[in-house]
Amino acid sequence: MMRPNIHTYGWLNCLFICLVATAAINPLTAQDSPLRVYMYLDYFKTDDSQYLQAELKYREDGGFKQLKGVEVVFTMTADTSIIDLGKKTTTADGLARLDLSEVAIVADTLGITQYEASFEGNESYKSSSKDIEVGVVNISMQTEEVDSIRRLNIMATKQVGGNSLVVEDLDIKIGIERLFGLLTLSEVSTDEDGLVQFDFPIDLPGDALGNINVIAMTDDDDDFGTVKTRTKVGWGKPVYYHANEAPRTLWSRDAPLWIIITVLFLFLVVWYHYFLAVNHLIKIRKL
Amino acid sequence: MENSVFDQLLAKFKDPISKPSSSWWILLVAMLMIIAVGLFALIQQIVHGHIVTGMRDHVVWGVFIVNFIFFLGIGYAGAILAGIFHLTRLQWAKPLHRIAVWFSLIGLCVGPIFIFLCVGRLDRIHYLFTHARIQSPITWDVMAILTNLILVSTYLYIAHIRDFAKLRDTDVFDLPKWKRKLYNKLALNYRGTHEQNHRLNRAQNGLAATMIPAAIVADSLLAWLFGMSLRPGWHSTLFAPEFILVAIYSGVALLIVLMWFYRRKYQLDNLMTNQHFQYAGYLLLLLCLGFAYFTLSEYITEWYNINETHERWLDKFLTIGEFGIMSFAAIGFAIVIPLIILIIPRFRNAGSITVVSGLILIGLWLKRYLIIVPTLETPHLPIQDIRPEYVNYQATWVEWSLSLAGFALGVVLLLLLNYLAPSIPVADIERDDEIVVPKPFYKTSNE
Repeated sequence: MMRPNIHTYGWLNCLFICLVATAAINPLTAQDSPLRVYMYLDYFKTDDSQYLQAELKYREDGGFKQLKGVEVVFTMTADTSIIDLGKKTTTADGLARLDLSEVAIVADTLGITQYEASFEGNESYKSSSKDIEVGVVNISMQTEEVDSIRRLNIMATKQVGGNSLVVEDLDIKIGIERLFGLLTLSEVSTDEDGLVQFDFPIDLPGDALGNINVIAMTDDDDDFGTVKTRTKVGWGKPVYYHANEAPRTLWSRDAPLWIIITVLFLFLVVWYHYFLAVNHLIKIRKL
Repeated sequence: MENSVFDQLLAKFKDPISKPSSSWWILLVAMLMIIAVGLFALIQQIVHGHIVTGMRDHVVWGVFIVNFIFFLGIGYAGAILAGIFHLTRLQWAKPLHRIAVWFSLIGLCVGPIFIFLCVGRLDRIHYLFTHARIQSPITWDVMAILTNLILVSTYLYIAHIRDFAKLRDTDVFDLPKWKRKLYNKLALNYRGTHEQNHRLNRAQNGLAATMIPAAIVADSLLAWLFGMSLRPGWHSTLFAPEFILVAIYSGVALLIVLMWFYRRKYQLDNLMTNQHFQYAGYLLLLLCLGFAYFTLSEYITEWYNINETHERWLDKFLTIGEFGIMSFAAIGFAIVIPLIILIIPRFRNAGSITVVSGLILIGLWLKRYLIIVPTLETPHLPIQDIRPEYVNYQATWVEWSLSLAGFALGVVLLLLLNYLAPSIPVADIERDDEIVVPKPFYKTSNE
């Protein structure tokens, strides 16, 4: 029987080392473990809508990224029963919004409703859920003008067991709507009657007619979420924005006057001499 | 026989006015064949697009624009020289006047053709007029070229009227009937009366006085097409005066070359004397020094520029693998050799001045190339994400064929002008009744 020699063992050893190196570079378990998902749930209420908004993120390369295209399940808990509100898919911004306008909201004896949003996870991302407890608050805003003092009267009430109760110590932000956001005028708190009064400044610019959209809102309140109410008042200073015609510049449609005058002047001077010469030629022919 | 000396002078131009010689025909046919090849190249360009040229994403102007500037420069220079000769009443320069006007017209006719070749969408060329913006240097350039072309052609016609009348009336050589009729029409009933002469002089004076500033302005506008952009090598206040100087420099060089040619062909030694060449040589020397000064100023200013893009641009002129050879050739042909030949009296004669003038024309064509292409290959933002073969410009056979066709067209136009009129204003010289020769500044060496 032939004994295997050193060269045979050498080849076998090389093959073994290659296999180990390949396994180290390309592990047999091809997939990484699923990433952790961070979920945020908020409640929003305005004059004409109310909705839940879930935001999903995950961590990658040292920063957060929005998780898009995944399904989020929304539920509402009333006492012991869980009511399915529906499913929404996250947008490119990682947001899933569920409209509550058509939903019959069920609150407990304290007027609190519990909402939950959940993501069941998949092979890339872990499951995640978030719940919030929100009471429904109504913010009403009335305007009055007494002795040239313009005042906002804001009242916050909540529904508890069919009764309307005032909300004390509710932080309300008062501001006016501008093009890119809210111009905050003041941050106030309701008194024991759920009331707050605010004297409106007199020198704020409005639109061309002097109208301003005044907003009173709770900003991500722990108990009530973000609730916003808006009213239009004519308390601003009218501002007339004249659309300035593009000035005459090198780069605008209309050239600077000095260029037009100079070019035309030079053109006319040169062509005048040309027509003068042509005139002489015509006269030569006739002589 | 009245004015027999001048009739004998006119008789020298029997070929080609009366009967073109075989050499005239051979040259014409040869040039037409080159133009035919150019037309074939043009068809390729129209059918396949500009991909058949070397122009790509970054180098969007190539040999066509070089030729455009070269020919327009000659055109404007001819107008300036002709205007100066006429207004200063330089008697000894009279024989040169017509040559200057001729190559001015040729330059202004051939130059704009290269712009049309460079434009990708010829069906939109009318936008230059329908969508013109008066603050655009391109609009000014269009107006200036058209204006100068019309001015120069009118001036050329006016400057030929006396010769047309002479050719209408002469019996020095036989002319076909159609040609005599043509001269009759072109002469505008000119009979040499006092009133007609007065009007002709006024017309010519007015146009000559207008042509000079018009040509200077037009050449400046051409320079501002480059100077008003922000690229390294172009954005320079020197560009307008440099363009004018280089244009006149190439114009004088061309004038000398044509002068030598016509002197030989028509035995015009008594009209285009060695002294004419000496004077032209002095002018050439002055212009050469001016060009050297501008070139030095241009490069040394960029050398002190710490901007990286400008540094990269300047490096190209010193790198053999890039534009080093071309820049040394341009400086050699347009500065070094002319300085040596023109400064040293021993080397300065009609023949050497003519050879130097030919080299100057080549050197100045290379200079125009060095103005256009290196700057386009050196944008402020580094060239990236394009094919390597698109980075550097290389003219293709289409561009060279069309360039040669342009030069051939210039020769054809010159041949046709020769066919129509003598290359010296015989009638104007006859009116002075003497042939004036420039006096030497000092004793020169024997030629």
